[in-house]
Amino acid sequence: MRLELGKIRIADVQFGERTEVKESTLFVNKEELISIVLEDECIQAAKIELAKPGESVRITPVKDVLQPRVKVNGGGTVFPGVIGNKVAQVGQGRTHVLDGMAVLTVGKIMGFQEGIVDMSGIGSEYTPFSKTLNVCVVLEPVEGIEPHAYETAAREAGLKISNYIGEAGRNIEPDSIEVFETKGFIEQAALYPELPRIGYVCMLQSQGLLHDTYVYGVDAKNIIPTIMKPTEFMDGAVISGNCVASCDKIPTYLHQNDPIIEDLFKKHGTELNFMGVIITNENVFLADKERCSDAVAKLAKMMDLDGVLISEEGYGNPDTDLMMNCKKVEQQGIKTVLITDEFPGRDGKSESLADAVKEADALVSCGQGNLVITMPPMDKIIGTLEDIETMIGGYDGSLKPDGSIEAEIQIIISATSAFGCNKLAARMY
Amino acid sequence: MNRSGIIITNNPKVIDDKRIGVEKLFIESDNMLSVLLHVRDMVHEGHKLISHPLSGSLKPNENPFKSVIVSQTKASIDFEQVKIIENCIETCRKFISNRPLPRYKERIVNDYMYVDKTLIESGLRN
Repeated sequence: MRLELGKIRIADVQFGERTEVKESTLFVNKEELISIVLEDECIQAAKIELAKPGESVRITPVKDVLQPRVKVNGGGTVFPGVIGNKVAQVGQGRTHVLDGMAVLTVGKIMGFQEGIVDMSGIGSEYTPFSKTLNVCVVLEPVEGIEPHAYETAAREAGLKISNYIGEAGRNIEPDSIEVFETKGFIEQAALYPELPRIGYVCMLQSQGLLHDTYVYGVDAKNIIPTIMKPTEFMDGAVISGNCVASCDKIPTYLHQNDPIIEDLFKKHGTELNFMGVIITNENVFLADKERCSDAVAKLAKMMDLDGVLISEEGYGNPDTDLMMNCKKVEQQGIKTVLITDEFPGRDGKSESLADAVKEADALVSCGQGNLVITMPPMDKIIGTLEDIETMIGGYDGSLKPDGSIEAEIQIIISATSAFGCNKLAARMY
Repeated sequence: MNRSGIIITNNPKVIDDKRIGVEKLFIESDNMLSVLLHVRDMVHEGHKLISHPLSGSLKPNENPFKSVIVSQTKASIDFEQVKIIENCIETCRKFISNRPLPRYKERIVNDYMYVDKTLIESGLRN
């Protein structure tokens, strides 16, 4: 189970007559991309706009962020099981990545659950997507569409555009090749017998409309926890279908580029033996929480792990899943480290999480979402500022007459994501 | 569909939706705290929580609406569940005292009602 990631460095993105990569520049044909989006009758109109790091550009409301990739060999397609793609298992062979760029889907779905990406100024410091060259797909749905149908159309538009652009990298010689390999459990455990066997429990948001994640095309709320190869994430087996509070959000891009998986591989064979990933969900019903946390603990034991990292997506009742997973895994004699963000109020003095257990004695914080900042006005807006004051993190008076925005950093995409993709942390003094 | 529960809610869209064929109890309130307090009283009487009271990852000072499903039948008090609902009430009070709910436009109010209803429906469908 070996995957080669061939990274094609993209240094610039421009509109062109063909969608292609030439000498580290990605050219995209605007009309082609628009026609792909408009194949879906739920979408009435679409615009394609480009945004580059350092520009005076504000992109909002952002729904999802994706990275164009293409499966060169090894079977299957990127984003298996959706938009008509084959459902074959992925995570082996070779995949080419357009490194340094992203596709952003932009448009109002619900009036409060999408977020902001600023390409410069203080706001840009809080999101990883101010550092990527962005192809923004701005969507406008047909009148009177049901939110469910629009969410599906917007999600699929992002996937289709990302797949289409990814194809441009198929026959390009990558600038670098990284190799990731996970063996069968017995062989993997025997490879580094002196190192601790570490797993990663990835909790997927799965509570309902705008709170969903898909695994090989299956709604994660319907899964029983299962084991995945880390490389399956790199091939897009897990995609975001949600718009939780923007700061908590794990967009598809971060599932493709999960920093926890990347860091575990960096230490693999030297500090630890990375055995694999357990995925589980965050459902609304308490019986589901019990069933799935029991299964997580069982799988961790069956994998004979010494320790696990557990990340979550969202706030509130996912904290209960996080704590149930922690407690039950610890009860199996397996050490846990939790990765989360905090909402302790603006003064930072309130409880940071909605639930806690005594076994949760090792926790990494990815920052607190209630921090208030003022983001300067931008010369160009991609999307609309119409809902800024009712987006999560915004409030009455957030949008100033000069176009600047005072808001909690909750409003910024992935600002405190529990994948640790940003610069925020909490330290004990 | 699980018909053995009661939905405690302040969301008119849940009450009005005839397809949700479960007993419903409407709590007239412009925030979720009153719903959580009512649920707490029921848990103390021996009803069981079926859905998590903070479903949705929407914070109590952002989302005005809450629907919680509890069992119709009563049994002995489950102290783990008392802890869950008390934690949720504490969290709710913390958020509202930090910053009260804003006054939303009608479209946004409708969106919050819609998401709350969808979250509870997604649970009932399973």
